[in-house]
Amino acid sequence: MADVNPRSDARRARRGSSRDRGQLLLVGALALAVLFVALALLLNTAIYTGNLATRDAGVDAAPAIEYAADSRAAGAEAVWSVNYRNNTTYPELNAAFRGTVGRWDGLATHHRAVAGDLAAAEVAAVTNGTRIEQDDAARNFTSAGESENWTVASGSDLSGVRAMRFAVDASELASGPSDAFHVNVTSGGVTRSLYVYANGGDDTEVRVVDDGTELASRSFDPGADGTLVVDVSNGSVEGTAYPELRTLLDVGAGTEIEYRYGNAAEGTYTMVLDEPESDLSLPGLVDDDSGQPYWTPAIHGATFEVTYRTSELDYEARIEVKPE
Amino acid sequence: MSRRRGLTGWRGVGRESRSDRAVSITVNYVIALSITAALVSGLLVGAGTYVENERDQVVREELTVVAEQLAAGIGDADRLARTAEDPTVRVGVDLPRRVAGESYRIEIVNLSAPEPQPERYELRLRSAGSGVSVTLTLSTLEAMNETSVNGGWVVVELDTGGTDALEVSDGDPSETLSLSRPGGTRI
Repeated sequence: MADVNPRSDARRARRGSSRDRGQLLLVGALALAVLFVALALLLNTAIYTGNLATRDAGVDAAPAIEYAADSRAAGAEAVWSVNYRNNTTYPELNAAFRGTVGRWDGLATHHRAVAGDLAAAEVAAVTNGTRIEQDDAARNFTSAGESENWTVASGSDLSGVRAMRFAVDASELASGPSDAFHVNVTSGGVTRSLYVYANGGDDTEVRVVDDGTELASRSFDPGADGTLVVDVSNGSVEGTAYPELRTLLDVGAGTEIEYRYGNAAEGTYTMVLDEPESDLSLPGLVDDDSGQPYWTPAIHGATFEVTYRTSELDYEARIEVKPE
Repeated sequence: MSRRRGLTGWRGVGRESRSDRAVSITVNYVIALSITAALVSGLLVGAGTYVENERDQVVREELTVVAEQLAAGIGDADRLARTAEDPTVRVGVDLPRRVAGESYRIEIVNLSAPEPQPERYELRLRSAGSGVSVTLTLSTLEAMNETSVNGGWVVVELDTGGTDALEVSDGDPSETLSLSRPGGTRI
């Protein structure tokens, strides 16, 4: 094989440059070896790509979103709990609320620290509100001065009503729509009404009217206890969904809430307004617990500053906390 | 005698062919060398092309994976941006700095969908050396700014300054995200 391959010693002795033989194959083999190394490196990269593809994609945003949702739920629970246990003054309610949220925040921070994440929820603002309530289930829905058509609350800044619930005694309702008890919520020149009356049989009719147009009218069985629970904020009657009820609370500034034919219904009711008593006109209510309809200070809602940080994520948001 | 003649004859033939012998050896060498050279170079060229193709394939695959990871990061930021009114959102995505030994560049291009539809964008990743390009289309609910960044540690943040859009920018891998945020002391 000529220069490519050295052969016998005899020939090598005859030709002085025999040591140079085989260069071509040697160089070719070396070049091929380099190529094979490059191929091996590429295969390594391909394997790494496969590894990369099976890793968790991106950062996990779920813990941050969960934390924000949890703090909103905890805040709503805290508002509910503070309003339930305390109805004295705004400073006391605020202190109790901030204390409750602070304790929850401490626990949640410890919980998240286990995963190496930093989480914090802090109260940015509290909306002082007013709770309106009637506790005496045997009393009709007239005002403290026994007026049957009366203004429950009005105010130029009143723009939010929540937790509006009625528990009416079905046996004491008017037997037709003409002189039935109804709630009028007026805002921006639009009046929305909720009528509750007996529809002739054993059932109770609940009707929602939007500025003179009937939105919905459905009848419900009050059940064995004879009490019909109308949850306007939750949009349900006796636990059955009735979403049209919520249009009643779709209000802006300058809202007025009135009762008509308050003598045609009996039971209890409650609602929370987004303004303190000093900014409201509550002509038909008293401020003591004498069995008459009354008002107390309450927390309407709050704003939280929520922070969630990991090594790959920085999230800070202002969330609104408002129970239903 | 005949034997001698025979010998002489053989010698005569030998003498005649011996003058061609050097030529045949040279031709032999040349042919052997050229065939070997052709074979070896053919082998090298073939193997080189194969490696080159494999390399492009590997780069393309890795860029696809990188694009998917960036899209996941953008999706996370998009979701977080919609949890509240104007939140501060910064999401770091740790992408490889190089793919198969080459640096690469990420470009974000708006495909401008009409208003009520979710925004559509193209992520275009191009490797610097081999010029392999990969395109991935993604939809976001928040708008995104058109930009281009180098591969590596990339930060997706919500720009609440006015445009209210997601912005992808180069990050500094030496610092962790939380510490690098200016004025981020209030916790």
